[in-house]
Amino acid sequence: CGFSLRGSQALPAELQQVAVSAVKPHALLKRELKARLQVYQIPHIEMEALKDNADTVVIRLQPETLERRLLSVFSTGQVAEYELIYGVTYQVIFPDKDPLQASFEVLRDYQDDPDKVLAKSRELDLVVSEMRQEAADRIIRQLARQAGEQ
Amino acid sequence: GSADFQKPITVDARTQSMDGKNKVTRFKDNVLITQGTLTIEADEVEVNAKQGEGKEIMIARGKPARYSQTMDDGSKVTAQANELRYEVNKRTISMRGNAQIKQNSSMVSGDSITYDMMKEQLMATSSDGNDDSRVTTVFRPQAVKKLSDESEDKQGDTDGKNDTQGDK
Amino acid sequence: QTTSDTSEPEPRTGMELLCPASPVQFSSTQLMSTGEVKVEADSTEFLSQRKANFSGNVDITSDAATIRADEAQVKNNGRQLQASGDVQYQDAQLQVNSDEVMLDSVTETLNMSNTEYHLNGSNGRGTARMIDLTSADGLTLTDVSFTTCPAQSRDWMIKASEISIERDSMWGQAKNTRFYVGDVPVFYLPYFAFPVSDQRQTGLLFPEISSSSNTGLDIEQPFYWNMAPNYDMTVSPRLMTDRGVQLKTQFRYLSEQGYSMLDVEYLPSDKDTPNEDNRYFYRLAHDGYLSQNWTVGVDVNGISDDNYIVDLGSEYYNRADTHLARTLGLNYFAPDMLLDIHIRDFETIGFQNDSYRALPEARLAITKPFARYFEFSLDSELAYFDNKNDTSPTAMRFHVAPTLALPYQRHWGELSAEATVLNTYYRQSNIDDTDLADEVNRTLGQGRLFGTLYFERDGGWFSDTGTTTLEPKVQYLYTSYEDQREIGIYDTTVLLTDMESLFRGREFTGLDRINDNNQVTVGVTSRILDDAHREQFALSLGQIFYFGDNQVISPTQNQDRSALAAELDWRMTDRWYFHSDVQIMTQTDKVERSSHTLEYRRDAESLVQLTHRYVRELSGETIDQVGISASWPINQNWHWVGRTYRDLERNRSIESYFGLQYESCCWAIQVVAQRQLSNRFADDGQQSTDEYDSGIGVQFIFKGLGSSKSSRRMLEDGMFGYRQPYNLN
Repeated sequence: CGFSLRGSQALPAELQQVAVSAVKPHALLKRELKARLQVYQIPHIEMEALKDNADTVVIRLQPETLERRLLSVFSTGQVAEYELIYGVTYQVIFPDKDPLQASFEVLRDYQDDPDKVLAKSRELDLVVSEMRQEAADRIIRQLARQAGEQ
Repeated sequence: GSADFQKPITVDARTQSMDGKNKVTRFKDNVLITQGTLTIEADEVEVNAKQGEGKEIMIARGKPARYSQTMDDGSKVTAQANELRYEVNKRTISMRGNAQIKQNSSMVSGDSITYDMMKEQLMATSSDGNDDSRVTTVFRPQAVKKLSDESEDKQGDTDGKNDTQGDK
Repeated sequence: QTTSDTSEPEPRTGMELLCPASPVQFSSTQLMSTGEVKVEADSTEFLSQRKANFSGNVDITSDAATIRADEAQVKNNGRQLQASGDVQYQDAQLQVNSDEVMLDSVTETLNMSNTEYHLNGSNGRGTARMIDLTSADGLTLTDVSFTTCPAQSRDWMIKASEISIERDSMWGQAKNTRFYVGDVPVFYLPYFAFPVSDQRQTGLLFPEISSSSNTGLDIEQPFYWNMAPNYDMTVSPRLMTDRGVQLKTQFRYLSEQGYSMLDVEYLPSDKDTPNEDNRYFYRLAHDGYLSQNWTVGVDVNGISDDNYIVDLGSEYYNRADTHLARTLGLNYFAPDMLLDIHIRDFETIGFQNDSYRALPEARLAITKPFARYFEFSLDSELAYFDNKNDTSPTAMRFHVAPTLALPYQRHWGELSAEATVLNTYYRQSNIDDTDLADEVNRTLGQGRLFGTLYFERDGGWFSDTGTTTLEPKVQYLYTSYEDQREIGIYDTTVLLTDMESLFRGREFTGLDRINDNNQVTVGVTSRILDDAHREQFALSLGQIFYFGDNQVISPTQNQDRSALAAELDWRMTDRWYFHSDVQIMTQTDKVERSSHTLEYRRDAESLVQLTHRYVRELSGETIDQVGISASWPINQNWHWVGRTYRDLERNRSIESYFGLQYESCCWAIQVVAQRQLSNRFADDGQQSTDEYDSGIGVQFIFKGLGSSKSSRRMLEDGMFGYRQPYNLN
């Protein structure tokens, strides 16, 4: 029925590698993005090596945001379900072009439980790390599209 | 400078013609008047000596006629206009027709400029009526130059340019 | 769940129509190059090098500003300039008409008298007897008036004896400020501070005036003290007619070691409480670096009583929150290692029986590539659990989980295999009348095989533009079984299972229960992307097939497990959206959880949204709620927002909210009526289940003023603030 395996390469040929920098040192999204670049076999270099690698795409990450919104409440009026909103803002700087600003949000539902506060904080860590991984994949997927538009 | 005005005036040109009765001499084709450091170059000069020795009036015309002189403080003043009128005893030059005068980094241009070479005073007016032929003066306030030199060498925080509006 | 790409809400298009465009647009192209000044005039007179007079249609252009005047005088070769007679000064920040301007480029001062000024880029304008701009101490306006209303409508105006904005400072100060509505003086303040945004554009943070049934008339006025370039303090007294005067102070400190903030809110003898007790909230937050690789994080909060946030509100916590964080964390970062040591404690709101705390908890995670294709990772944890009430068991837990993985990822798909050993050792105490053992060691093995492929095809279902994708996923998971009833429950509870978590393979958070698995999970996602690569349609389905019943059950959850999940996001037209997600229990075919949203959205201010949420069982209750929320402009100035959420299970309303806003160019007034389930705590710590809060709120908003906080959007106000429902990226 006309389906074929996705063909497009993540990075167009003339861009050899990616460098990731973050406004906040040790940003967890930066670590996650570098791990996912590794997994997708996209060569990446450290920012220090930027000077002698001209054909590098630089992804500059702004601090991540995590907000929540009420979805439903218990009979007592206390929150039953939250929506977690993980906000990502970053710039993509292609060599000799002006930076491209991009931002998106990753959404997840999350149930609170007043009787299990410690366990629920562990669940929050797990869900946020999953959202971070999804955000990293998303940045990589958009990279091909943004490169195409340049 | 002021010493120029004790010096003799020499005028040389390709052709010269005299009108004895009215005491008017006409010089033509790259006329050069020199008096000490004062020089006037023009296509055509008319010297009217009716009021006698030392009170001549020289009218120089050119496209444009040019004047230049070195002042007492060593700075050079240059000017140009379609018509330059040098009144020797008054030691003034009046220029008419897109006149322009420059000294150091300042420049004044307008329809008519009168310049007193002794007092180094200047009066410029536009031909009244249309607005776009106003007198234009461009200068670089001395303070700025001193300021910008100063801040270049020390790691000053105020940026070099004279910011008339406080800090940006 | 895919992600939603919500750009900033479109700027309010109506804004320009409300306010006439500001008269003169300043373009810096007409300026001179650095250090040069050009003067055009009908006549110019140089008296000597020292002094020059210009008269008639004088136009002065410097490298930063232009001045038009009737006549001007330049003294001491260009250092002092004086322009007079109907002078118009203009630079990047403001445009000023005055009768005299003095400019001294040596002392870098600019003075203008009897001025009428207009701020570029905003409709802030006003008059001032004197404007002084000096490079030493910034901008000072004396006998000044300020408003953002256009010339013909004098709706409000601020008059002050002096407004000053220090150089490089984030704030300006105003003295002897009188506030006029129309021509009636309404308000007097000896001193107040206002934020000046970093583009040096003047903005005023006006005291926030509102009223509600909780606090009566509520006026909060911040005073800012810029103590030093790297630390400052904001003190905001807040007058509440029903309660008294509360003092909110915030101290911020920035250093190379990091950023710290201390927030203290104190309300002495609250009149609205039975025995007028003192109420407080404090918060210490620090985010710092000890060295290149060590970071430290502090987030400690405390409140005086359970109803503090419900009654007095908070910037950091929502009235429906169940606890406040009290955590101290220390982290070490290395390229392939992460060490995280922290104390995780909580201040619970209301009576909670199980509040375990981790004092402390240390986690070490190492991931290393191994022999070219493989990846070795180690997750280890050491934690000590303690409980508030001393009859509950406490425990020390040491957990190690080495994993060997073979990830093979390409743009067309992903295949990965993982093998993990999970070993956890417990030493439990205070376990006398329980069947817990004092020492337990649990060792489990886990194997995981995962594969997914990405197929694409040109064209959508009905149209031939765009592309359609098909992404099948399959996973086999095996985890061995061990009886874990001798292990206490410390940081473990049932995990929410939805589309994303089907492939997670874990049903519990924490480590005290690790469920046995022998299951295959199958899933498929199909998306339709338009030519700009934006998703129009995304459908995901997933199901778990069990080979045998699970033996590890959590004490709260019954035998069967949810196994079928579906999620749909569909942008039907550019105005209609639909979102739905469902989880079904395969053994009983009962719906575990579902949520549906239908929205019609013309623009950021005009939309209607219908939502329904159902959860069969959560903490012993059933959630079955439906909500409709709408926002619609009546005309250019009037706008209403309405919202009502009903609990179908108990057949009663949860929140109904109606807001009406009148907005003109420079001010707006919001009147809000709301009635919502109150979750105040009675003295015995229990919450009443049918008590309501209701109130009328009035909010004045002065537009064009610095703080955006003062123009809170009604749409996001109240319990169920509006959010776009769809998750298309």
